[in-house]
Order: sequence, then C-alpha cells, then structure tokens
Amino acid sequence: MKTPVTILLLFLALRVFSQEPDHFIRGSFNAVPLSTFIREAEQQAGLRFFYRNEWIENITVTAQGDSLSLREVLTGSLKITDIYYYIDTLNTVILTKGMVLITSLAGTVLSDAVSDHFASKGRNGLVTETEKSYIEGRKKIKAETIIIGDLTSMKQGKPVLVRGRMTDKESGEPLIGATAYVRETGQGYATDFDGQFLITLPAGTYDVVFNCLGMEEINYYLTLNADGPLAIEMNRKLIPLDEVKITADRFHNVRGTQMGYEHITLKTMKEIPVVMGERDVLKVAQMLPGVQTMGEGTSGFNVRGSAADQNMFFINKMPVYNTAHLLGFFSAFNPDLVKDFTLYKSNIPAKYGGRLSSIFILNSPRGNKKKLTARGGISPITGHLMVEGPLKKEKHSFILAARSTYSDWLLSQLDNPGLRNSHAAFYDLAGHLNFEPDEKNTIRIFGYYSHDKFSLSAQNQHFLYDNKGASADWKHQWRPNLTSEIALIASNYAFQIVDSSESSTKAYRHQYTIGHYEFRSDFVWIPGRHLVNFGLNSVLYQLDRGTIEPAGLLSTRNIVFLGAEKGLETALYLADEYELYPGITLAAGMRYSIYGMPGPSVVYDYYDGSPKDELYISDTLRYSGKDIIATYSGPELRASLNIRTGESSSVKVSYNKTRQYLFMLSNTLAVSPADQWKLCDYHIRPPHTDQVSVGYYKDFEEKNINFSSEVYYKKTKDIIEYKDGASFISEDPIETQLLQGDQQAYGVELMLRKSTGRLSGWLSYCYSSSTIQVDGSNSWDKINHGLTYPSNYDKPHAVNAVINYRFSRQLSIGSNVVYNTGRPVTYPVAVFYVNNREQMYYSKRNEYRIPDYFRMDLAINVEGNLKARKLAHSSWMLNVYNLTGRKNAYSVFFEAEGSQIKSYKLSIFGTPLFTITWNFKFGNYASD
Amino acid sequence: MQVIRDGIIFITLLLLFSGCIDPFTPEVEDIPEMIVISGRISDQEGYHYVEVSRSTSYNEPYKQSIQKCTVTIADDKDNRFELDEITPGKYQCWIGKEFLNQGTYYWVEVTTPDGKQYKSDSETLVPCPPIESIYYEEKKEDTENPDKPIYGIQFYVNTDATGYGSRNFLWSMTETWEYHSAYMVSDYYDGEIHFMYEYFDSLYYCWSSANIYDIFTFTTENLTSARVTRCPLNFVTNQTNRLSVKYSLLVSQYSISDNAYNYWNTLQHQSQGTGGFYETQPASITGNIHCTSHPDETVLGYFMVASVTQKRVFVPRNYDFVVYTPACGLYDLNTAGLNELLKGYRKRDYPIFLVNLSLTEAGPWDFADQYCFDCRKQGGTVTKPDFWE
Repeated sequence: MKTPVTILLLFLALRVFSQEPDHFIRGSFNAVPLSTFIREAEQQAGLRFFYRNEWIENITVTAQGDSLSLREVLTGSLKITDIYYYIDTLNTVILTKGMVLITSLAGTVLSDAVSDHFASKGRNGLVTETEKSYIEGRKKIKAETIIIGDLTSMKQGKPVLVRGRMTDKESGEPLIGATAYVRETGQGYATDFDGQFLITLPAGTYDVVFNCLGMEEINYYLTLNADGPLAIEMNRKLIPLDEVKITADRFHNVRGTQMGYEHITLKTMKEIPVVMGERDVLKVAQMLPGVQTMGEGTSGFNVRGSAADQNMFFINKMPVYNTAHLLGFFSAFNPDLVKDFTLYKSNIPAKYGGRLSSIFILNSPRGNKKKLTARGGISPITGHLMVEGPLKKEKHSFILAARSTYSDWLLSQLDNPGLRNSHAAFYDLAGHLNFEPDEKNTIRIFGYYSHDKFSLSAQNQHFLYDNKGASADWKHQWRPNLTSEIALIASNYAFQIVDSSESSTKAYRHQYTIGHYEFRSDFVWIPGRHLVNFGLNSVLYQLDRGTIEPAGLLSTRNIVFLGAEKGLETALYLADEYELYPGITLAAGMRYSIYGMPGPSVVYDYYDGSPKDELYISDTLRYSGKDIIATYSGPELRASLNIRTGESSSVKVSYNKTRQYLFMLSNTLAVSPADQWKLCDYHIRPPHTDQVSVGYYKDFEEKNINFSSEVYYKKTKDIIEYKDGASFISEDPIETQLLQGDQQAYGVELMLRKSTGRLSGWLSYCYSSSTIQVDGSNSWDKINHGLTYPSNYDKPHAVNAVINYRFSRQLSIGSNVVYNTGRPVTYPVAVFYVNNREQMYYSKRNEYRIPDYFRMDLAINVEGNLKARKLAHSSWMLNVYNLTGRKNAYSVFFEAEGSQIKSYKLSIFGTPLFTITWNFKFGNYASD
Repeated sequence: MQVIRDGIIFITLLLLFSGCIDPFTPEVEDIPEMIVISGRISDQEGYHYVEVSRSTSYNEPYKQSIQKCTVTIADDKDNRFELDEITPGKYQCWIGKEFLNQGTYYWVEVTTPDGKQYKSDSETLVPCPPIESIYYEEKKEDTENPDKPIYGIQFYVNTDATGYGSRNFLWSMTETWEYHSAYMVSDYYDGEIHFMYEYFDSLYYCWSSANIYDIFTFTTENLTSARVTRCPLNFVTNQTNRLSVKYSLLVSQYSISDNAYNYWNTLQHQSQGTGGFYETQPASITGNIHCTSHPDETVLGYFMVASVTQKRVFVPRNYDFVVYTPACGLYDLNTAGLNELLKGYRKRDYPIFLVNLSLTEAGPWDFADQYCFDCRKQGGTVTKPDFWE
C-alpha cells in the first residue's frame, strides 16, 4: 500500500510509546524479495506494512526458523540500505527512506551507548545530541549524529552547504589534505590549506567518515537541514604500527580532478634520509617523479625537462627567488617552517601563473594555539630553533623560527686547500602571526629573511645574497558559500659579488636586486554544484641589474651600467569545477594575463635580416617614464577532466597553457648564484607552453597502495637560449646575447605509493625527453646549426625509491635509491695541433652523455623514550648519504697539461657521508 | 659565469668532505677529418712558419701532417712569398724587413695535394708596445695536505699600450733554466775503478729549455686605460729543478686583432681553468681560414698577423722557500756490494760515476743514481746558451 509518509508522521507524533513491540514469523526465506516476506508477515502476524515499492525492490530476505523476530529480520535485511522501519503497537509497520521517524521530542540526554570520548566536546554554536528513542535503526549506533542547521531554516529542494573545518585537537593546527567521505554518495572531500572543506548535498542524514594521515578516524552521522559550519577535531593516532585499516576510500588519488600534483606533508618528510640530516623540502621534492636537478650541490630544479627559471617557489604566498643556501647543499627553507608542500606540475590551477613549468607551494604551521612550545636541532652544519605558541588561547598564535650555520669551523677542517681558508655562512629567520578573531575571518602575517655569505680566499671572490619578504593575508567568509582571500606580498632578492679572480686590473663588484610586489585576490564561490574560483592577481617587478664597477686599487675596469627595469604582470582568472555526470567531473578555467613594461629606457632597433649586434643598429628609441616599451598578453586555458572508471580508479585528462614574463640570465649548465633575472622587453618575447597530459590512477585500498601514471607532452615557444660566449656583465644589450627557439618535452611518469603501515614510501620511474631547436632563418640566428639538440636537463630514465620501515615507535629506517641517466654533454670529437699544442674540436651540442648517476642513502632514526609526561623529547638521526660511495659524475672536463689535453671526471661526493643529527621538541613523542 | 666557475672548482671539491677528480676517458665517435692551417707572420725579419695538418680522432690523437702543399703568404702590396716544406707539414720562408710594415695586410693561401684551395682573412700589423716589465711574486698554493703546500713564483706582465692603438695581447713564453747535478764527477768505473785526483765540472752545469704551452691573452677593451697591469702569466713551482739555480723567461708579446683575440681566448678557456661548478657549453672555434672552393668546409687553425716585442728576465735563486731537486742519496755499499752492483752495468753505460768517501784511492766509494753526476741525464745540455747571463 502506498501512503504519504508525512501524514503518518503527524499521526504517529501523537503517540508516545515506551515499549517497542515485536512480532514473530515462521518460515524459510531464501533470498526472497522483501515484498514477498512482507506479504507473508502481514498474513501470519496480521500486520499492515506501509512503504513504497520502489524502495524495497532490490532488497531480499534470507532467514529460517519457526519464531523469527520481525525486528531482527527487518534489521538484518535493511542493514546496508537507507530504509528504516517502525513498528507500532497497532500492528502497523512503517518503512521510511533516508530518514528516521522521530517519535519523541528533541532535547533528551545523551544515550549511554555513545562513548564519552565523543560526548565531552562542546563546540560553539553546534548542538551535539543523540535522540533518545530513535526507532531502532538499521545499525547499532557507533557514532553520534551532528545536526547542521535548523529544521526551520530548511528550504525545500535546495541543497545544503556545510562549511567544514578539521583541526588537530592538540595544537589547533588545521589539517591539510584530510578527507571526509560520505558513504551514501560515495563522494569524498579534501581539506584545503586552512583545513577547510565544503560539502554540498541535499538535505538528509549521511554517514560520514573523517580521515587524516596520522590521526584517528572519526565517523559521524550528519543530518543536514540548512547551511552551517562543522568543526571536527581529530586526535593523534598513537599506535601507528599495526595495520590500521583505513576503510574510507582515499580521496585524493582517484577522485580529485587535480593531476600532475604532488602533496607531501611534514610526516612524510621526516622519514626521508637527506644530506646532513636536514629535513630539506627541496631534496624531498627531487625524489618525486618528473623533478630533476643538474647535480649535487646545485640549486634549482628541472621539472619535466624544463629550465630552472620556469619554476616558482612560494612560502606562505611569498615568492623566493633563490632557494639555495650554500650553493644548493641546503635549501633556503628552514625545515621547521615547512608543514607541507604542494607541487603542481601539469594541471596548474588557474589561480597560479607567471611560470611555465611548475609551482611549489610551501605552507608553514600556524602556531600551536593551545600552548607555548619549541623545537630545534643540531647537525654538523647547522642549528635551528622554532618557538610557537598562542597569542590568545584558542584564537591567535605565532611562530618564530631561526636557523644558522657555523660552517667556517667545518671548512677549516677540510682537506681541500681552496676551501680550507674560505668562509661560508648562512642564516635565515622567519615569523608568522595567525589571527582568527572569529569564525569568518583569518588574518595571517608572515615575514622571512635569509642571508648567505661566501668567500673564496684562494680565488679572491666574495659573494653574498639575501631573500627577504613578507606577506599579509586576510581570509573572509562573506556567505557560507563565498569566501575571499586577499593578500599583499613583497619580496626582494639581492646579491653582491666582488670578483678579483681574473686579474687585478679586471677585478669588479656587481650588485643586483629584484623586487616583487604583489596583490592577490582569490574568491571561492559555490553556487549549487559548481565550485567556482575567480580572482585578480597583479605583480609589479622592479629590478636593477646594477653596475659593474672596478674593485680594488689596481682595477681599471670600465664602469658598465646594466640598467634598471620595471614590469607589471596582471592576471584575471575564472575557473569552475562541475560534475557533468556521476563520476565525470570537468574543471575548466581561463586565466588571462597581461604584461607591460614601462620606461624610462633606451632601446636599439636593428636592421631586418641582420644579426642583433651593435654594428647593425638602425635606430635608437628613447622612452620616458610615461611610455610603455612593450606589452604582451594572452589567454591561458587550464582544463581537466576526471572520469571515474571504477570504484577506485580514474582517468584524468588535462590541458594547460602557461606564460612567463621574466627569465634568468644563465648560460651555465647549473644555476649559479650570480645569475640575474631579467624581464621580457621590446625584443625578448615571453615564452609560452602548451601541455597536454593524460593520467590513470588506481587505489588498491586493501593494501593502501596508490598507483598513478601520467603521460605528458609539452611544447614551449620562444624559449630563451644563449649564444656561445654570452656575457651578462658587458655593455651589450641582452637581446644580442640570446636567441629564442622551441622546446619539446614529453614523458611518462609512473608511481606506486604506500602511505601507511610499517612499510611505507614510494617507487617511481620516468621516461622523458626534452629537446630544443633554435633554427632562425639566418646562420647567426641558429644554435647547433639549427639542428635539434637535447636540453641540458634531458635525462631519459629516472628511478626514485623512498622506503621507510618502522620497527617500533622508537626506531625506524629509511632509504632512498636514485638512478638516472647522465645528463647531456658536448664532448671533443677531434684533436688538432696548433704550435704543437693539442686543441679540441667539439661534437654537436649535447650529443653525448656523462656517466649515469646512482645513489643510495640510509637513515636510522631513533626517538627518545615514549613517556607521555615529559618536558622535552629528543631524537637522533644517523644519516649516510651515498652509501655505496659511488663517484657520480658531476661533469667531465678537459685540462691542458703541458702540450696535451687530459680529461677528468669531477664528482662531488666520492665516499659515503656520515652525519648525526640531534633534534628536540617540547612535549612528548607525539607532539608536533 | 666564468669567474664563478673558476673559483668554484674548489667548492666542488667538497664543501663537505671528499670530492674527487678522476681521470676519465669519454668514448666518442670519430668524425671526418678536418684540415688545420696554422701560422703566424710577425714584424720581425726572419723565418715565418705555416703548418698544415689534419685533425684526428679524440680517442687516438696524433699530429697528421699534410705534405706537399703549396703555401704562399701574400700581402696587399702584391708581394707573394712561397714557403718551402722543411719538415713534414711545416712550411717556412724568409721574409726580409722591407716587406714587414705596419699597416700592410697579409694573408695566406694554401693548396693541398688534392687540389683544394684555402685562404685566410687578411689581417694587418699593428705596432706592439714594448713589454714594460716582467716580474714575479712568491706564491703559496695550498694542497690537500695542509702541511705540504706548494710554493713557487708567479710571473706577471705590465705593458703600457697607450698610444699604440693595440688593445689585445697574446703572450707566449719559453723558459730556460740552469741547474746543477748533485755531485761533481770524479772517480768512475768502466770495468775497473779509476781514482781521479780532482773534481771536474764538465757535467755539472746544465741548461734546459722548454716551451710553455699555456695560452695567455688579455684585452684592454673594457678598461679605462690601455694598460696591462699585473696580468698573470705562468706559475713556476718548486716541485722541479727549475728554480734550483737560475731561471730565465723569454716572453714574446704579440699585439693581435680582435678576431685573433677571440680565437685565442676561446682556446685558452677550453682547456685552462676548467673543472668548475658552473661550466658553460664549450664552443668550437674555427679561426679565420676558409676553403675557397667549398665555403662550407670547416677549417681549423688561425693565420695570425701580429707585431711582436720580446723581453727576457732572469731570476736568480733567492727565495724564501725550498726548491726540490731530485733525490740523490748515497747508497752505502761495502766493497763486495759495490762490485756486484757495478758488474750489473754494461759497457754502454760506462763510465759509472762514484763518490769517494775518503780522499784516497783506497775508497771506499758510494753509489748514487747517475743523474746525480751527469746533469745531462735530467734533460739539459752542458752548452751554455748565448744569451745566458
């Protein structure tokens, strides 16, 4: 029979029952349809059932006996459905779908069945209650129900928006990359950098599981009535050893539309063995597929076969232009400062731009909101300390972090004569203030300063550089489905060199600075089932290439003014993510960027068909401060499609276009600390890249293994390459030193990853190719005779393995294995004699390769005792870098000895390198 | 950047602990041979040379001369000078003073036996200023062992080119040094021991000469004045016997064109001061000679037209550091041992020199390596060079 359920509701509300009656049925039912059972029950027990046929079409009953309890049979058959039943005392049985009949008034006390663990929380503004006499539902209550929004505010037919936030209960830190999985819809949601997530669902009750790596899983029923907030505090998992089955589906790998995306948290970084026992975020990044470097001790990355200046690094939104300390042996990011980092390699969201290849986003912790704490450590090279705590308990917090070397002492202990008498030092400082005056506002202020100083006394070179900057960010919730984030950012990178190596007459000093001043506004709007991002982003670049001045009394060097320049890069973006069909989500965005370079400046024009050289200047153009010398603009389409191909697998396709308006003057194979940034101008057009990638992802949930594979193809136009012998400190304008050509890169990246359990880590293999062609119409516009050549960072095969094994809470071992093909090199292929001296003639550019690279590292981490109550906790890490002691070739070089040329291989690390690091933190083992 | 590259070779040698440089032979494929024409004409009357050869593979290098070429130096005053082949691949001719004038353009023409013709771009003679001074400074170079640094003398050159119109220089050097053997010759063995009553210095004083192959170039182009001040030349260490008695350096200073400077400077950086951290792409440099019949053919080598001035300096031994000479310990042998040793030598090794420990013909004698007596065995000659002071 079909009866409107609502009438029944009213009808039954008037009845108050203290007993739940049961009835007994006799029979043998073997996977019979429920409707059949119902007819039988109606007959046998004289009951009347009210329900809708379509609800129970697929439900079957299997039971046998003479005295089957109706309650039990119904409970059993309806267990995995969303059908509830209610038996009243008048032999009526009512079936309801998706909701439980309320048969008593709200406001009753918590049932004892609910554990105290959940009961003791008191969240502001939310009501946590369990209805006392639920009709016995389909499940035993194992989690409480949270009601979101008032019943009275419920709007028929309108989906409910839940603004969720997940935090660490102990410190108040937001949990990034945590997930909420709604069983009924099979949909998962992940938290963002603020630990926030949004769920949009029709009104109803849902079974939601909350998960975060390292935290205890929580399960709640959410009853959604109207829009509202939801705050979830999670407890640390203190027993990471035994297999803790994460039964909720892992969100990120399979379900998100994001591809070409890597996200690493602090916990993962802790277990990777690195040089000097420093938890270096950039060294960790190198272990990810698609990320390469030119060699040990070099700064800068090559992501998917691209030059190092095509990547951008942000820490708390502040850009850092030189991410290396001590020429790349350490990164400029104090490990204490990095809570997690995200790397976008292919599908860069529309909100980011300005670089062709990748964006690295580093986030610092917000500061412990509950208590003042500190941590730090000492390694053979550096010491670091971080202090954090609340400014106002539970609301505002701060962090102060500092790191410094005492390397000079260490250098003096070395064999190498050049280094022994040299000086090297660096330090960095950072501070972060986090204000949360209320639910709707978060204000963050961050400041950072890093400084490097290096002197090579043997060669008479002195060198220093620093990165400094600050960001201020205000996040505001205008409406439950509209938030904005407005930020003001300033960053400055400056270096100074005094170089007297060539001869005293040519000794010079060079100071350079680049300032980056940015305004960012990012809006997130969720109208219905769309996730819309839009905003405006504007950067003012001010760089001064400085002056080459004579240094020292004997220097007669001419002063060269390299000039200052400015550029303004503005971008508007709009992106939407929408589920077209169940399992098919489309994210499409358009970023439109506009660049302009204002004067004043003097620009030379050259004759068509002639080389760009001072001999062929046809005109001298003078621009004043009010003129615009050059403008470039263009759309950057960012689109991706996620197709769920199975319960735990998906296929993703993305297309990305990016543009870049500044570049680095660097004709050395590795990024040198003296490399200058330069803006695109009258002659130099901005390079742009089109990238297509296709990926297949699969999660093996039982084993907690994720598999991802991605194929990409990138084409870059107007890539900048330098002529042989290019100089960046002469009077010649830069357009005479470079040529623009095309780059093509493609590859396959495969990765297998296990994030939980005793054994964890990842294994990745990449095959890639990266080639360049500069083939202008005239011979002087060609490099390598116009033939295609491998780029300096083309490494066809790369294998990375990171393996961690945790023996006990106190002891864990980690190992890295890295293998890649040697980078391309230009070798001499012929020898000839001039005045009886051997000279070399070289092959085509990058025709050969240096020997392959292989390295294995090992780290043993021993934690202090596991007492819960202690003031401070310490740990030791023994680290062996390059365990096999392989002398990996950094370069092959040729030196004349007498009349002959001898060739040598240069390696950086020739023997295994042992270091011991000691780290401490206030609190106990589990504190962060 | 080159400057950082040069310096930071040390950084690579490991900031951290053990960096290494190991000999390594790259495997490369052979490429077709290329012709190399290299020569020079200066403003000095005398023989001028041109060499013609072919390049060989990197893995098996040797000098492959091309013989029987027709080589002619020509100038823009319609003079032509034919060169004669004196040794395989080396062609010379005598050019008198009257033909070597500042402002005249010269070039070379070569026809190889297979009929191909080559011609260099013309260059002119530009007056070369005299070398103002060559001087040296004692210098210490640290090595991996902090207790054993290397000492030596670093030469520098000063030249004032103001008014000469030349701004690029190339220096080539020849070094000559005097050294002595450890012991003067006296008693000797040629089947029997001969007792001599005195010492002879006939094999004691020696002189050795060598070319310095490194290339040194300098340009005053970006400087405020046309002066070369303290440009480093070669470094002579105390690890050989060069500085043991007296050392002399003959420096030839060439005033070269911009093109020639570019050529030599590129060659200099190809193989001197390499092995740094920030290497750039190496560049092949082809020089100023072209094949007239096949303009696309690569021709290596350079025909340089440059005025030259010379200066010689002498450096007597007067250093604060020790100069190492070959070890010349005496082998303490009793008569039986000595006889055994001497019988091991053959006639062609005679005479074998010995040191008489007493002043009598009874001996005893000690043995030392023969180069300790005969200074010629270290590569020199007992003939004193004409220029020697």
